[in-house]
Amino acid sequence: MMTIAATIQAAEAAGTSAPGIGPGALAFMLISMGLVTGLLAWCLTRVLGTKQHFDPDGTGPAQPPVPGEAEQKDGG
Amino acid sequence: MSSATEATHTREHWGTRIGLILAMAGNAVGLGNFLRFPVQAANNGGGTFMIPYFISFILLGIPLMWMEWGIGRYGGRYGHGTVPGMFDKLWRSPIAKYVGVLGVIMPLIVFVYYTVIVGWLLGFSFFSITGGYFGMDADGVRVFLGSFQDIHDTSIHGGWVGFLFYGITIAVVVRILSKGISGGIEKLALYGMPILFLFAVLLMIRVLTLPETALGSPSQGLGFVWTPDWGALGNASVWLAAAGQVFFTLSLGMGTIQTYSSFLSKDDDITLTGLTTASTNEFAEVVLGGTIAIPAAVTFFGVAGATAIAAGGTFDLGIVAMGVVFQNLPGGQAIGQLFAFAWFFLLFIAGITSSVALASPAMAFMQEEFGFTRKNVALGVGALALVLGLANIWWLRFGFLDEWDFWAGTFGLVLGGFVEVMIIRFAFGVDEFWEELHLGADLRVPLFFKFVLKWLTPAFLTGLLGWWIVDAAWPMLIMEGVPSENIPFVWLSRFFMLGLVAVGCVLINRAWADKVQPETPIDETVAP
Repeated sequence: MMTIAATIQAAEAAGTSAPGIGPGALAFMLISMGLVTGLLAWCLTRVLGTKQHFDPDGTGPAQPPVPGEAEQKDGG
Repeated sequence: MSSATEATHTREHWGTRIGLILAMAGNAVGLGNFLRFPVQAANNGGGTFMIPYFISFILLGIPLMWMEWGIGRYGGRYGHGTVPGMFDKLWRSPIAKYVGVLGVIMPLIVFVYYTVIVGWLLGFSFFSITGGYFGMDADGVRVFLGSFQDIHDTSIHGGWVGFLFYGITIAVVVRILSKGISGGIEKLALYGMPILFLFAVLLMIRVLTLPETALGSPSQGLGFVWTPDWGALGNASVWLAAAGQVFFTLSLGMGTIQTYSSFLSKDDDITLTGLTTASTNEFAEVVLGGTIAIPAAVTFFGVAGATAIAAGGTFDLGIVAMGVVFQNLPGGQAIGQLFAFAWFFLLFIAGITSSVALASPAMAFMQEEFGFTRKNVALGVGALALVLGLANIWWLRFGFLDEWDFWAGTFGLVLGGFVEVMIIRFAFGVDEFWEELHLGADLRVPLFFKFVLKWLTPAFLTGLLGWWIVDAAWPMLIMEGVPSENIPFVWLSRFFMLGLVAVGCVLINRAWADKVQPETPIDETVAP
């Protein structure tokens, strides 16, 4: 089996060019990352902002309990 | 109280929505996000790979993901946390439950060999802290890894070392599973996923700020991954590679999403929650996965070197190359050891959250269909995995694990996805499913996706399955290129898998013979 060092030497000898990140690559990278980050941010904003309560076992009330009037005035 | 109503109260449930999102993301985020994605992108058109990738995400990934969430929640309403019971309710055919065996046995098979791999990552987390492989070059680390993986190669490690880390991994998984959905899996996700993302962000920053070396730079690494090759867009294999990557990264066709979502009630949103899970996975893949392993490897090995190493396989890149990268970080060995630990431990967390998800269908099946206690099933699944995992470790060099990986972990997923799409499309009905999907929804899905679910996803998946059969499954089936000494072990590997499927079918038969199935959803049953 060829060693990694020998494989690397052979690959280098074959001459693979190594440009840095160009404008096209940068644009693709930023747009791709922007799309997934934007989608995640949008989803998290909606999830964290939603008022619907979480009732996975289906045994709780249909709506979250509303604090009583006196409770609201007292601030809890 | 009727038995059906009793079942409602005995089924487990998620504690918090964020816990569910992180657990589902933990199921999806795995080694593929950090190791498979950048290699696929670099080999299939660089930046232009993202065009078919995003199209596949919209036409295949998101619709299938919603479909699996919907199937899971629907089945859970009938007291079924696994695919056999779900298919039985969706299709109403006597064979449906047997077709669903795929959704229990496939994840179990993947669980067995995946925990073997997760054990390697735990081992390398340990070796990073102790500096076990520091001072070795790439060839030295490869020998070090080989001796650790192969129980018969005692040139560096005793045969028991690899098995020890595998045993610890199984013990951790069993412990988490025995704590249940809310107390085990959700807690693991709530603590594990933030640590994973923290480590990944730290590594990304470290890699992108590395100084240029004589061989390369992080900028060249990013260029290698992202430089667009417009000619690749005309290549069918690039489109299929992108579709495959989307399929695997979201853990579709496995049966795990259905089990997790079965612990929801009909009033719980699945549209927005599902999309949040998918986008969390995409963030881990595109942003974090695209900026760590390849740029780091290119910086220290050059493009030619990184390509040569990656050609040796995922683990040559993720373990061997990265093992050398961390030895050469500025700041000395201690800093290198810390970053190496962060890398291997983040992969370990990604692996352990996925392992727990993979074991969940088998857990739910034995608990719900046979009434076994959670702890007993967890111990049973752990013991089975330990025995079958030993077979994978023992015969690793003969391609035993590779055979399982292909049939259960690659082809099986596409097949599983294809079957469920066809059941929804032709047996249950897309219109009915659309209504089911929107019960309790926080997000109204655009009607465009109904068209996609009805026509494009089935067509896309049929094409993907056809391509897999011609391109990979047939050569694999006829053992093309398999060394003659491996052939008996490949047959043995297949015999094990078929045996597990047969046992699964027998268990399904017994479960349905012994139990009266509810005709209406449990949550609509009125207690007398």
